[in-house]
This record gives sequence, C-alpha cells and structure tokens, in this order.
Amino acid sequence: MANAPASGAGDVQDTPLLVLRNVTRTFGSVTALADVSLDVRAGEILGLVGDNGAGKSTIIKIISGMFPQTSGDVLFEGQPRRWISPQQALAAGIETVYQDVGLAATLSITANIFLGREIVRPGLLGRMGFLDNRAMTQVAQADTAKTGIRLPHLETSVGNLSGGQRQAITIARSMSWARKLLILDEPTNHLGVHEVEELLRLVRHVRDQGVAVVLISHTLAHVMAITDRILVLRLGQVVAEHVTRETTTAAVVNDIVGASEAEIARSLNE
Amino acid sequence: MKKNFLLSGLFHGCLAAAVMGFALGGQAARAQAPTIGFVPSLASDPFFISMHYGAEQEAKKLGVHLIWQGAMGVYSPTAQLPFVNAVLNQHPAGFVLVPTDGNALMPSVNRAVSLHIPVVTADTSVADTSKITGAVTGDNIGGGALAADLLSEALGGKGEVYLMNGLPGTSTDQLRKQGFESKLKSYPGLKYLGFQFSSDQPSHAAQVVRELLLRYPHLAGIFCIDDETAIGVIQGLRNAGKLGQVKVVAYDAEPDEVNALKAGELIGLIAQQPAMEGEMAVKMAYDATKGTQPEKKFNVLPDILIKRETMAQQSQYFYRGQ
Amino acid sequence: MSSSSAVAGQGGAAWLARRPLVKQQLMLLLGLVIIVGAFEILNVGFLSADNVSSILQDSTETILLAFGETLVIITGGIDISVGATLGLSGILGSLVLVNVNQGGAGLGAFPSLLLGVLAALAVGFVIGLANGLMVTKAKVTPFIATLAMLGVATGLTFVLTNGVDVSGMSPSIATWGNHVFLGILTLPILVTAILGILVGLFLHCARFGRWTFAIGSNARAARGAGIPVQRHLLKIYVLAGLLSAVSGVLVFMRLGTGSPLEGANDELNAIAAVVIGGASLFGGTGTILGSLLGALIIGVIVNGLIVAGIQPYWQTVIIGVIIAVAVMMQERGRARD
Repeated sequence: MANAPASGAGDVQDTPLLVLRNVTRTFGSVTALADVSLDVRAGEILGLVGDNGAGKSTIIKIISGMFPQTSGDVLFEGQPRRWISPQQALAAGIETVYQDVGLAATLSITANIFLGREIVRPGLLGRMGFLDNRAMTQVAQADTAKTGIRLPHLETSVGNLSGGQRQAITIARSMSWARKLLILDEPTNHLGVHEVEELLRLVRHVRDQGVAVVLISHTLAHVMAITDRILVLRLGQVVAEHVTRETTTAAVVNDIVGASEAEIARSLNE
Repeated sequence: MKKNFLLSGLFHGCLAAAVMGFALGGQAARAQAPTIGFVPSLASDPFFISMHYGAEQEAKKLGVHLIWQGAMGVYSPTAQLPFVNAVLNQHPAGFVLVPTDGNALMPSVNRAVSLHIPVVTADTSVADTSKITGAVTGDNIGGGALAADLLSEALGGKGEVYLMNGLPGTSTDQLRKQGFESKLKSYPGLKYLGFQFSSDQPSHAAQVVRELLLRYPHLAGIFCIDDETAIGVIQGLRNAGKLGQVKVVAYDAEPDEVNALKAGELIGLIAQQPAMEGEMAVKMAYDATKGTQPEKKFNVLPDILIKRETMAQQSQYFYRGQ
Repeated sequence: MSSSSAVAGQGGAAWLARRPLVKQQLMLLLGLVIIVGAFEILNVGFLSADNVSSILQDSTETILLAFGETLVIITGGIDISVGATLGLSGILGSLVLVNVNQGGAGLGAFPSLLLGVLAALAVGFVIGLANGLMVTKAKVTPFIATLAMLGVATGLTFVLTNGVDVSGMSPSIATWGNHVFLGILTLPILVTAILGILVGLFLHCARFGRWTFAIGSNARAARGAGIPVQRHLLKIYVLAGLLSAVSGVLVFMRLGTGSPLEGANDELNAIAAVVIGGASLFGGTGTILGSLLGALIIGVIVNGLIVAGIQPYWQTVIIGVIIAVAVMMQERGRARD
C-alpha cells in the first residue's frame, strides 16, 4: 500500500495527470456544472473553493466515478475516461474522502479501512473470499498510528466514534491507498486544532510522494496554507485561478462571492 | 453487561415459572388416567370446538385423559405436524386425527402405528385407511341431497338454483356437490345453473353473487357448500338488496350461520354432528387400546336439517363458539 | 476475530464487551437452555430423543427461510416472498418428480427426486432474481418488490394445482424425508445444519459477508469504496430464493406429497426468528446463529407448551410476548452500545 511515486518526489509534472475539458453535468433541469475546464498535475496540491452550490462536490463525484459527466471530456493520464462506478476510479489509483458518504457505522475500524479491498487468506480459502483478519488488523494498526489520532480498540464499531475520529479514519484509509490522485472534500470539519496540523502535514507528505491532491475546503486559512494553486467556482463555472503563493485571501473571497470589496461596501451603505 | 445477563436470566426464569404455574393442573390429572391424543385440523373453528366438547364428554365418561392440541388459525400440514409430533411423543394410548391432508399425514399415521398407538380419524380421513382402526365422518352425500330437498320445498318445485362451492380439492365439498346434483335430477322443475369456487373467501363469494344476479336476474335459490361461502353469499345478496328474496341453504351450523337463520337471511342449515363425531372417535380409540375392534370401521353420521321454523327445538345441533 | 497480545491481557469480560454480537448470541443460547430446562423439569420426557428430533425436524422449515431472510435483512431490505417461494418451488418440484417417476413406471425414485430438486431450485432462482432485479434495476423498495413476487408465486401455485395436492409420489420420498438415524437426526435436519454452517461461514468469515454488512450499514459508503452494490444485492436475493426452494423440497419430502397449502405466512415466522435472533430491521447487523436460535426458541416453546398441556389458544399469545420482549431487550442493548 505504499504510495508509488509518479515522478521524482516533489517535482510538479508538466503533463497533467487529470484534465477536465468543457465538462457539463446536468440533473434534470438543473445544471450543476457548465463548461468546466481544469487540470491537475502530479505532485501538486490544487484547492477548489466556492460557495455552496458552486459545483465543487459535483466535480469530485465525476472524478471519483460516482457518476459520469453529461458532456465534455475527462482525461486521466492522457487517456479519455468515462467512469460510471467508483470501482473504476479506485482501480485507476484515485482515492476520495467524501464529505457526505462516510463510513459503515456497524462495521469495525479495521473493516472500514479495508472496505472493498479486504485481504483474503492465501490459497483456496482466499479464492473463496475468506478474510485474513489478522493481517488486516496489523496493517490497520500501522495506518492509524501514522495519523497520530487517538482511537479505541480497532474492533470498535465506527458508529461509536466521534465525528473527528471517523473523519480521521476516512482520511487514513484514503491516504494509505492513494497512488495517483487523492481528493479530500472538506476533511477538516470535525478536527481539532492539533488534528488539523497533523492532517496538513500528512497531505504535504502525500504530495511529496508524487501524488496529486485536490482539496476542497471552506476554511480558506487551510487552503492558503497548503495549496499550490486555487480554482474558484461559482454557480457551476470556473471563474478564477490563483497561484496560492502570489495571491491573498481577500482576492480569493472576492472571486467566491463575485463582487469586489468596494462593491460590497457600497451596497451596504445604500 | 452483567445486568443484561441477569435480566435475561430473570426474564426466562419468570417465563418458565409462569408456564409451570399454568401446567401444574394438567400434571395431576394426567398422572393416573390413560391418555387419548386428539389433533384436529383447525382448533379455532367452531366445528372443531364442538367436536372438542363431544370428545371431552366421552373422555370424562370413560375416565380417560384427553390431550386436545391443534393449530389455531392456520390450516396446513406443516402447521399441523408439530402438534401431531408433540402429542405422539407423549406416547398416548390412542390417537384421533383430523388430517389437514390425506396424503401428507400418512407418515405420521405410520409412525403412530409403529409405536403401537391405534389411530382413528374424524371428519376427513387418510389416503391409506388400512392403517387406521376406525373412521367417523359426516354424510356429505346425504347432506347435499337434503339441500336439494329443502330448496325444492321452499321454491315450490320450480326455479333456478345455483351452487356456491368452496376451496377446490376439498373431498367433503366434492361429496356434497355430488349429493346435491344427483338429488336435483329428481326435481325436474328446478333448473340447475351450475357452480363456482369461492376459495372459501367470503369477499370472493359476495362478488360472484353480484355477477350471478346480473346474469340470472331470476335466480331463486343458492346452496352454499360451507360456512365461509354462506357468509359471503349473504353479504352479496344484502348488497344487491335481494336478501330474503333469493332462498339460501347452507352447510354447517356455525354461530354466524345460526344468527343468519334466525334473521331469516337463510332458510335452512345442513348441520353435521361434530360433537357426536368427537364422542365416537374417542370411544373407538379407547376400545382399541383395550384390544377391542370397533363394531364398524367406517362410520357415517347423518346430517341434521335445521329449518327456520323448527330451529328453536334444534339448538343442540348448533356449533359451539367456545 | 484475531487479536493482538495487548487484547489477550485484558481478560474475558472485556473481550466479550467488545464483541456485542457474541454476547447477544450467548444470551440467546442461555435463554434457550433455560427454556428447555424449564420444560424438562416440568415434563420429564421433553428431552427424549423422539421429542428433540421432532422439534428439530419441524423447525427446519422456518430455519432455512430464516437463513435467507437474515441475509436480506442485513442488507437493509426485506423479503416477504420466501413463504410463497417455498410453496411454488415445492409444488413444481413435486410435479416434476411425480411426472418423471410415473408411479415407478418411469425414472427411479432417486433420479426423479434429483430432477425435482433441480426444478425447485430453478423456481427459487428465478423468483430471487426477479426480486433482486426489481430492487436494484427498477429501484423498487424491497417490501413492494417481494410483495409482488409473493402474489405471483401464490397465484402460480394455485394455477398449477387448482388447489389440489400433487399426489402419487413414490413412498420412498417420505421415507427419506422422515427416517431417523443416530437417534435424532433426519435428512432435513442434516441439510439444514450443513447449509447453516456454510452460510454462516460465508457471512461471518468471508468477503461476501463483509460486503453484505457494509451495504446494510451504509450502501453509499460501500459503493464509494468500490463494492459492486447492485450485483451483490442481486446475489443476496437469489440466495434467499434458493434457500426457500431447498426448504420447499424438504417440506414435500417430509409430507410425501406436494401440498399447495404450504408456505403461506411462513415469512412471518422467518422474520420473527431473525428479529429474535438480534438482527436489526434497519440493516447492518445480524447473525446466522442468532436467527437459528430464534427459530429454535419458537419451535421449543410451541412443542413445550403442547407437551405441558397448555391450551393452543395461549401459544400465539406467548410467542408474541417473546418476540416483543426480545426486540425490546435488543434495542436497549444496542442503544447502550
């Protein structure tokens, strides 16, 4: 489960890992994404920001295979892809920490970490699907230790854990498995200060392994602290792109909200 | 966690105590007298409640302990089997069975015979009667004929009549239909329109009646093959406003039917004699445990015609509600 | 359930506390033992080989249905067609058997039985597949989908038989279905035990089971993790149909005839057994052993009450009370966890 470096560690690649070209997604009469184009490179952290309803989660779900785009192209490693199930994206090396999908509450921590990717016993028993719980427990122990987050015994049902602990497990799971692209949708919502620092450190570590990272967050402080580029979405369209090092929080907020500071001040005074 | 264990143990202990409390009465009686097991096909039906009454009376008279057990509300071989098995496992001296299915209960009969328990059947019987000691049943053919007689009398010998049948495949129904249809031939003035199955569902019977009246507006008389059918036909006639105008004769004397007869919704009932069947069955089983063969192996009890005019004097033939 | 050395040092009570499912099954077992003990004290002979055999034999019908129902309920669904499937598969199986055997003039009893079994399994497969497709492809809620198949199966049973038994079955069939060996075992008991072990192993120790629990616990998370939810659900409903068909075969083997009355309302007993056994109707939890114990508790109580001489009128009351109390105790246990 080690992260396979896509290139020399720390280098941002020139050929993008993932490209969205003129992607549109409609649900009935609702247009969630209109003509969106973006790219993500290996070894970079891309931030996606925008207000509620801007289309961030929709982009994530298209990339992770939950549903395909209505029109437009998605290219992964140069090949056009049209994923209709998360299985396909996972097989391609894309890991996603969803905001709203969560964990299986009645299953244990170990079971959740290995969900969909269970380790089976060797030989005939394994071909029939019999699980190797000991192996999974050992690996799960190592993974969760890495996150630095305190967890009770690994057989505990995830439903008994706090929101922060659950989030930590989801993140630990995806980080361990991510080979090419890691997507994090609002990963810091339930985390305390210390835990957030741990998370950001881990994200940088993953990036340093050559994995591309896409980060969605409402907390601009985190976005400014860790990303290389920021894309701003508004009402289903990409309205701005910022290079993090060269921009300010205020400028990003402007683009999210869609009005300059002056305009806002003027409308308040009227 | 300990508390849950304790609670569970306590609950189950209380249950056991309650069960013991219930059964201590039965224990004493059972210890001395020989036992006869009796498993009806449907313990909740008034027909069988009457049979139970008759069986109990005879058991008391003979000084035997009667074990009466049967499925409530579900009529099927696998619903009946647990009762048959449990009763046989107590090794009664004799066994009376009302089989839900003549074939399906054969293995049980064979088992009883292999345990040297003599078997008597009541109401319906089993496929291989060579294994049983005796059988008692109602005269279904005669009963069907009685229905034809009554309709002819009530209609003055002229009119269109119809048969509302029940569940297909019921042997007793087939015999009643046979008796009815052959006796009808001797009444040339009565026109037999035919029959239909109601699957023993009153709502279905009611529907059929409605359609019948549309097709045969001059329909004068209906013979209902059993109580479920009767309830449905009465409802159907009520809905069509023809209650009392169309003459209805029905089999059995369940409480609902007796009330309908009193109210004039029916003109007559063909009552079987379940209590007497119960008595005879217990007597035959008892005799068999003493080594005596019954005088007659196959006993057919006549049905009683209960007319509205005479019903006050015939209340002993009404089926018991409990 | 593997554990590291750290766990082993903490002792049995803690081990048990961390495994609420094992605790639940132990409590059910304890309950069963107490009930059996009470009936035995009450009525020496309750635990006779004959009676134990009868209880087990009579319970196999519900137990097999409960196995399939457990799987479906764990995924958060429900299957109310299992009883009707039992009935139809039993009827078709016995029809094939009788027509191929032709009272001895055709194929021998055993090969005829095999063909009958195949026919019954085919029915179970088709009904299960129909249920699964309605639930996964047509997105019909499981209750409605299986209700529809209940109607179809019940109707077809009637159409095929006209309400009349499928008679003329070779007497060998009933012999094989009822013959007692080793004091208490019969073929139905053996088949049920073997299937129970197999289903239990796959449910609790294999990936198949893990995915089943995952889907019931959080179908979206399961899908997000790459589990092929639709395909898996299809397999679950097909399995339930197949298990119902096996039960249908064992029923006609016990009766020696194909009865169209069989199976009606059996799904209620199966669901009661599963609920007493600790599965949540919301999905995500349940055990094969629990459902088995639930069905046995019902079977023991029915038999025990008969043996104790209690009027049949009380039996349904007592079983209803058991179900209510069992569910309440389990919900309390779940809330505490």
